[in-house]
Amino acid sequence: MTALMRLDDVSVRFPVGRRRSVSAVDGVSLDVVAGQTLGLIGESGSGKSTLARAMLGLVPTATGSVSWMGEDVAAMSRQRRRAFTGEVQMVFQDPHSALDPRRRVRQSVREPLDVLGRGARDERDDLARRALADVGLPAHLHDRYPHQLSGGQKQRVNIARALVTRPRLLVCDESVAALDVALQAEILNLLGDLKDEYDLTVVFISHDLGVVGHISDRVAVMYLGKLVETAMADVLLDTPRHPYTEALLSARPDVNETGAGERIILRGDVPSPLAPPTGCRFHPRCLHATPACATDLPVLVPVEDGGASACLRVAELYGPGPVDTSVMGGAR
Amino acid sequence: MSTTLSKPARKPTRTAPRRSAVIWLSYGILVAVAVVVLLADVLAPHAPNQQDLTSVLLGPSAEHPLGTDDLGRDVLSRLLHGTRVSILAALLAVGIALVVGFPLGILAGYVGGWPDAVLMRLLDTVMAFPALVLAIGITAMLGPDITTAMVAVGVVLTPVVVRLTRAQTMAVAGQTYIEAASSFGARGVRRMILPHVVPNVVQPIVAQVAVLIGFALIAEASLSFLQLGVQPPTASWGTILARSYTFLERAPMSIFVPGAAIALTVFALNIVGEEVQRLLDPRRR
Amino acid sequence: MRIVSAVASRLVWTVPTLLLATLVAFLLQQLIPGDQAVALAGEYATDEKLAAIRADLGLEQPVLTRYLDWIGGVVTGDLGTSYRTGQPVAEIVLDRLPVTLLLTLLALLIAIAIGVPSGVAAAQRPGTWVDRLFTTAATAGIAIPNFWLGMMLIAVFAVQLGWFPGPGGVDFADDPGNALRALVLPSVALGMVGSAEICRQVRSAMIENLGSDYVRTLRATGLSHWSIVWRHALKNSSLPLATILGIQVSHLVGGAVVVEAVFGLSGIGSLVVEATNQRDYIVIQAVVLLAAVIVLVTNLVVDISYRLLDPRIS
Ligand SMILES: Nc1ncnc2c1ncn2[C@@H]1O[C@H](COP(=O)(O)OP(=O)(O)OP(=O)(O)O)[C@@H](O)[C@H]1O
Ligand SMILES: [Mg+2]
Repeated sequence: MTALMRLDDVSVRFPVGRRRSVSAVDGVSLDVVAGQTLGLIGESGSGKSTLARAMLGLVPTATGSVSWMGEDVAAMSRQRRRAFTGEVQMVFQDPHSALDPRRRVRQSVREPLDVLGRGARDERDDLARRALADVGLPAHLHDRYPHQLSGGQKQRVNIARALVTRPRLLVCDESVAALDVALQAEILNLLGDLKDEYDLTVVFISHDLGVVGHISDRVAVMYLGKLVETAMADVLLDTPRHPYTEALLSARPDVNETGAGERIILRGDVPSPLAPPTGCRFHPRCLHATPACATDLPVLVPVEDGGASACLRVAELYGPGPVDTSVMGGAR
Repeated sequence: MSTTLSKPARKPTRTAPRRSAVIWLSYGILVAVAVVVLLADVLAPHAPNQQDLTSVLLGPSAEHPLGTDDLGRDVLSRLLHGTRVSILAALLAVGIALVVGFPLGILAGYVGGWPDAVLMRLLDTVMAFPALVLAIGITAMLGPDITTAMVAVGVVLTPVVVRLTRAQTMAVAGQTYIEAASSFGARGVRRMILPHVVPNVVQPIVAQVAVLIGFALIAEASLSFLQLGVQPPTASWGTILARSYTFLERAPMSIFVPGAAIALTVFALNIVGEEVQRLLDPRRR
Repeated sequence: MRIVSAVASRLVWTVPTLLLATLVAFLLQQLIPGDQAVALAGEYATDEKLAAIRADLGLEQPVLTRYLDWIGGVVTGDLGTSYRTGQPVAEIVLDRLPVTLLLTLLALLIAIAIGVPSGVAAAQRPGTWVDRLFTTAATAGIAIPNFWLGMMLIAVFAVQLGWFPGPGGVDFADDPGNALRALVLPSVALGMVGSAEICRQVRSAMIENLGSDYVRTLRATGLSHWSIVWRHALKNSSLPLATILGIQVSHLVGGAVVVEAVFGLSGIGSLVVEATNQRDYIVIQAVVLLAAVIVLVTNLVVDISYRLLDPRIS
């Protein structure tokens, strides 16, 4: 397993007012493994989109580094950076506002080729049309403006634009959240097909555990800017090893219906990221919190089945982890 | 802002014809004004500055449909030529304000940070001066004449354009399609500002241009009335008004036509401006 | 305590703006094309005369020195000396100021007295013919140049009907009663445009308020419609109103210049026109600065009083 992209202790801070800042992402280390689909999950405001932006280099990182196939992205030359830009693309959360309302969708899809100088000038239109055909947009819609398309059609255009440079990594930020359920399934299936066709590695962001569990190989769970658990998808759904993941899982209606366990209701609201709780950030809402949780900072420790959990009481609650830490593999 | 158009008209069917009557009237006025600007020489029965001291202050007649002024000049001909001068002057002022203000507004709105803060501070200061007083001050220093007067009006209009453009640019800069464009490396003037920012900023400004022209027309008339703008004998709406005001007691109604021309034109510009804004409102789509 | 902090926070904004405004007013002089001494004395002036003027005005000194000199005088109330009359500029300006202030104030009252009720009336049923009538009339009102309205008023009420004095020749100290009568037409001419602008702004603020949730709640409590309109909705529209007032003062001071010229009133408006004709640059500069000071100070006062009256703003 090789890491296509490696995040090492990445933090992103935004200035808020004078001399204050919010840590939207705080010390996240994560590997994106080639060929796998990585699901990224967390409540609203947990920093998922910000992490995605950091992956693409759209926000400056306050600490840590992002490396692409072993090369630090921040240290790349202009030329390497351009190549990197073409290889990592993103599909944004809201299909409606992600397309320039004053450009025909074919122009929008063609634009990355123009900006990155890919292909011959007269071939770019063909490439754009091919990408639009690949995502299943009928040819007679290629010259429409975004407002003349439906939400699902717009999201197809967004995907086509992300794929036109033939990227290796596709980051989908809640790319189906704005669509209705039937369309969600349709777009998810499309993404599945395209993954094979384009030989993609996908990072799929969502706050819907059902969607993420369905299409991911591995899942990373975020809470208030920190990574709290990573695990293979089936393992995570079956035996979560962090109280927050447990709570998320039990909040799913289907789990509750089967009566598979007592429903854990998350108490209170997500604390403000401006003033995150001390110690474990989840402790004010955690069922298993001890006084130590309010003071000691948990770190990700390897657990069984190749996962990792950032809970101080992980051994106590979920059994001991693997003796040999070198097997943690991709789940850093 | 969210104020004027936030509530849809409650009885659209009943009010629709009423609204459109005023709008069509306004379009008609603007077309007529445009025709006069283009064809003033053809339409005018006499030369605008041709004096005839044997026929001063005549009433309307076939020869002089609007009569003559105190120097025996044909009032209609002066009005037609004056329309051209006034409109072109107003366009010059608004053109200056747009050429200077639009790029500055884009810069301030897109770059933000200290350039924005410094610029806004300066503009706040300029806007603290009553527009007409500052325009008079500038004109007085530069020496009264129509070009300097319209440069002055352009200067006082510039902050308005900057503010409008800046607000619109800030709204556009926060849109996802801008971030999407930067995600595949689009940046700078050629790849970001021109293709994505400008086209999305320009439309709402266009609607405001009509209103700005209206302001510039009134400013031209005011400055010319004060003899700081268009200089006699050249006819403009302001100079005609100033002249006829001096013989108000002998021919009281001679002030009516030029003033009505200004008022109707500005009215039509404001109505059309509002209408364009309404048509461009994305919520209508 | 709240008063102090409210005043302080606004002063922090106003004082630098005032300083910048003095700079702008001063820099106007730099626009004078060519040699200012020649502009003042005429092309045929002797070299000695030009040299004397230059020494007198300190034209040889760098701009910054001259600005600091001037601004030093300004803060102590010394605006310099008129080149034409030899009088202190402050004296000339103060002599003319009352007429302009009175005219502006009367016009503002007229604008509010007409603008607020008609804005409220138009907001009652947005989209109906009553509303259309008011909004179209307001658009027309904005389109009418105030000095033309003044001429028309003179033509009808002074020349034809003789109800009010015609333009010119009113001495305020001599005959205050007649002088006030002479201010009626100019105030109306100046106030009409303002009333149209106020009408539009009040209308939109009211429409927004009348459609809001809290008004719906008030209606549910059984409060009468008009009591909601006057006591609650209008009060909640008063922030935009305060903003409008600030803008109006600026518009009115600007409009006063032309209206004074029409009516032959000797305020600072006609002063700046006279000064322009005589190329009395230092007077022009003083009047331009004074206009900005009037606007900034009114804004400051409106803002502070608003903060004190409304607990929600801080
Ligand atoms: N540009 C910004 N400036 C300031 N704060 C920001 C900015 N972008 C994000 N934040 C803050 O960072 C935190 C994380 O935001 P982010 O958008 O990454 O969350 P998210 O997990 O994607 O949420 P959602 O599910 O709602 O999309 C939030 O508290 C947010 O307010
Ligand atoms: Mg997000």
